[in-house]
Amino acid sequence: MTLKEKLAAARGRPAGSEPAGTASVPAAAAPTASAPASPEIGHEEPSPPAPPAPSRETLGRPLTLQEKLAAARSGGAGAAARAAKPSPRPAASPATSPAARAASSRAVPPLEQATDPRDLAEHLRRAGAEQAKKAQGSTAKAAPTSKAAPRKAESKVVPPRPGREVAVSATSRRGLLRVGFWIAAGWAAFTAGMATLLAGSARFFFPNVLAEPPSTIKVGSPGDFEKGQVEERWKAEWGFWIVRSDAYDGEDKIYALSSICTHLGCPPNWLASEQKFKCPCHGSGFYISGVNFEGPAPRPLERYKLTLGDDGQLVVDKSQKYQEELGQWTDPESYFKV
Amino acid sequence: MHHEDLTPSVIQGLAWYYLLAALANALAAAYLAYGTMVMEGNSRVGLAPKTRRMPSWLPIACGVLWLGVAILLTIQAVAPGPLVSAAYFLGALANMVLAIQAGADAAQFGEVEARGHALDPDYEAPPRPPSLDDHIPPVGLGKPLNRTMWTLIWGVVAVVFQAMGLSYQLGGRVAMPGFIKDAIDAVSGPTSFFVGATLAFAAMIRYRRFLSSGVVAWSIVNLTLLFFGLSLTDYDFRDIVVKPDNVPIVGMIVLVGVFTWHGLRRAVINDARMARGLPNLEELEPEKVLTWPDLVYTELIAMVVGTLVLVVWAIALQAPLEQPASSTTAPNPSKAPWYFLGLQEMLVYFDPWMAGVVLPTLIILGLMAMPYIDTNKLGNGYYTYEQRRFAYITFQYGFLVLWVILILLGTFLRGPNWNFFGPYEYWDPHKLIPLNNVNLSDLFWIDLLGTSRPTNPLVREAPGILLTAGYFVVLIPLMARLFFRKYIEQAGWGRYLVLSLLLLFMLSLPIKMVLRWTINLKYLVFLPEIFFNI
Repeated sequence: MTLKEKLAAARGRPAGSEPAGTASVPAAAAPTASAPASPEIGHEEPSPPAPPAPSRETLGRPLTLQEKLAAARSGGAGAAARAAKPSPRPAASPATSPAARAASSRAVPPLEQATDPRDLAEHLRRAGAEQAKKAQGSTAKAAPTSKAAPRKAESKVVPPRPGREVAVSATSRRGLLRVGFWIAAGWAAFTAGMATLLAGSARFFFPNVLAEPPSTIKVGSPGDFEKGQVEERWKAEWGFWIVRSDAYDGEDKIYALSSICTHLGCPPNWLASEQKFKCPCHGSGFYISGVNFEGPAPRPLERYKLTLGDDGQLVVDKSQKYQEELGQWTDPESYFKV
Repeated sequence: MHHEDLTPSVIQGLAWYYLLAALANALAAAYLAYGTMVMEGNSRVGLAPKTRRMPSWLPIACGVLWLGVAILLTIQAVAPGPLVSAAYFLGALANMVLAIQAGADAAQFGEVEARGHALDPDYEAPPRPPSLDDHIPPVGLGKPLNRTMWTLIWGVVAVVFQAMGLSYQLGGRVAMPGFIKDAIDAVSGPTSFFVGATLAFAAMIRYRRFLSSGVVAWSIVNLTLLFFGLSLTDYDFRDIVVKPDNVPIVGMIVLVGVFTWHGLRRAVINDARMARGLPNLEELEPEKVLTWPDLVYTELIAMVVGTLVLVVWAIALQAPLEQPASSTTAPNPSKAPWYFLGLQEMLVYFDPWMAGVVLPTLIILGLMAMPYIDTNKLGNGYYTYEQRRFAYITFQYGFLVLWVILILLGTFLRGPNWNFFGPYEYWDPHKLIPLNNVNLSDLFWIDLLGTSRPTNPLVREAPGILLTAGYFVVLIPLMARLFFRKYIEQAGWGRYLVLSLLLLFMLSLPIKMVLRWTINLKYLVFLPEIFFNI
């Protein structure tokens, strides 16, 4: 048997109602088909002797879970009442449900030897019934008011969920209050802890001491650079090239190009033989002027501020950037005209 | 010019490579010759016992020979000497014996079967019940195969592989011919690679029944083995493939291939079974095993094997540690971890904001949204293609072509400066590939209308913005009308909108890639003023 068929058998639903799997094991379908329907939760057929339970037909819509539960409960109760008239049993006792009666007509092997899931289910059902009986007995002794629930069931009125308000006595209500207090306290502590962590993380972004390297450096006098030269000396430590070229606008200029790709921040390499900067990460390419022409980089490399110092040396200031697409390369501080 | 340097260690490695390839084929031949031939989904109940038995000396002989190989190699590892070749010849002998005996026995079995008919033309074979010898192919996989013929074929393949291995062992220098390498390098490029992968994917779906056959799959494995072995004779190919970083990716190709094939084969069989009203394979097989001992033993063995493999791997292949990270220098090429190489390849075609943030987020959200979008209740707990065609094709295209294939592209075929290199090409950092990309606004205003670009950025980018908006505004209702009518009835417009948006974003990747390759398009919408590009 497949699992599906076993489940179907346990539910008492004929296995033939499952679309798949019947052809493979026809023998399994035969006995289960005769198994009677049990009033299990989720079964859509309303139990016949339960007048207060609304049926699917009368409502014109599928039953909600609560209605199904109520139907199952009252169906069980009704059947129980009819089966054992002289001594009315507790309402939801599953031992007297129709399925149990039907199943008990078969010989149920002892639990150790049970292989058929229906036998197993029967054992479970019996064990549950015994426990329920014990529980009923004990609550009846403890609190006399608890008799209200079974009495309601005897009069075939759909009972509310049994046992809930029965079990909560005055003492346990105080216990619940205490539990509520601890839950609230726990959540408060959790919130406070998370808030502290968050505040600590936020504080992390504002260090007491910020060791920033100086942003300016002298790169030599303008005469040190030849036309068409890309000086790479400052790339490794400072992250810029000094370029002297007239490629951008025809004027012979010296400028400091940032060696950070405008696509995703990788450092491009200067390829002298191809006269271009080429990024190793995604293949963006830039002319010697810094203007992008291939690959995904959306805009030209950035220039840093370049001025002539009092001692005749060029000074690069990395704190000031000039972007071509914003028209900032016309700013006289973005280049030095030779 | 290709770089071939068949050093002695390479030749030795290739010899052992072909030894293992020959072993695999000899085992395949033996499986076909002697194995039980009832395939998936067929009941063995009531079948006559099999008569094709392996001669009992054969496994003993092969076992003893391989034991000798192991002993010689162990001695060699302890006290170096010329025992490796002796071990090799023992292994080769074992392969030959297995392949030839399997072939001979298969032919013999075929003869026994036919003899009754040959003696007397009027003789009719008695109607015997099918036996475990009969090759009963799974439902949906066509005719039974000729066991004798295929045993002989795999036996011959084993012998050929072994002969190649022996020739390397004896100092031969078989290498892939240069003109083949030239041809492969010439046709490879990002376009042909990606478009080829898409076509191969379509072919896989279209010819899935053919591919599901074990014989076809094993033929593909053999061709791949041969191609890979010959490629290993090329220095540049070997340099990339056996790099410790890249070895797991070679393994990943094998794993992805095997699992894809396995799933597709079960799906084909299940589809055929369900079309005939039979229970599918998963319904036939027991769904449960005992925790003790089955599950725990399996887990224990898996744990031990996994640990062993990891330890041996860690000792054999040194983890590549590179220079300390620096913000101003990067290795060339700079590659992401292998599982992110698909994303890195996406970044070549999109703005970082798009390919680095929006698309990955959409991938994750889309995967999370799947159970809510998918209203198809079929295919739960069993392999199927027919019942989940849209889901299968969409997911597998996204995973295999748009993720795995891009990882392969990034790993093996992207070299210095992120240029594309053929599999046998030298990674020349000065390779010049002109990639003068242009934006759509340039194409539209300058090339098409012959005017200069308008200064107002919104007017300038109007064609791209309209095109992008139109992509969504036109295609969503169009797809709804053409393909998704039934889906919308079932699932409603809300789900359809989510589905179609995810689908269009997914398709935007191949569309953008093809646009880049064909017309060098950089961005459809180019607004550097607000750092927004599409």
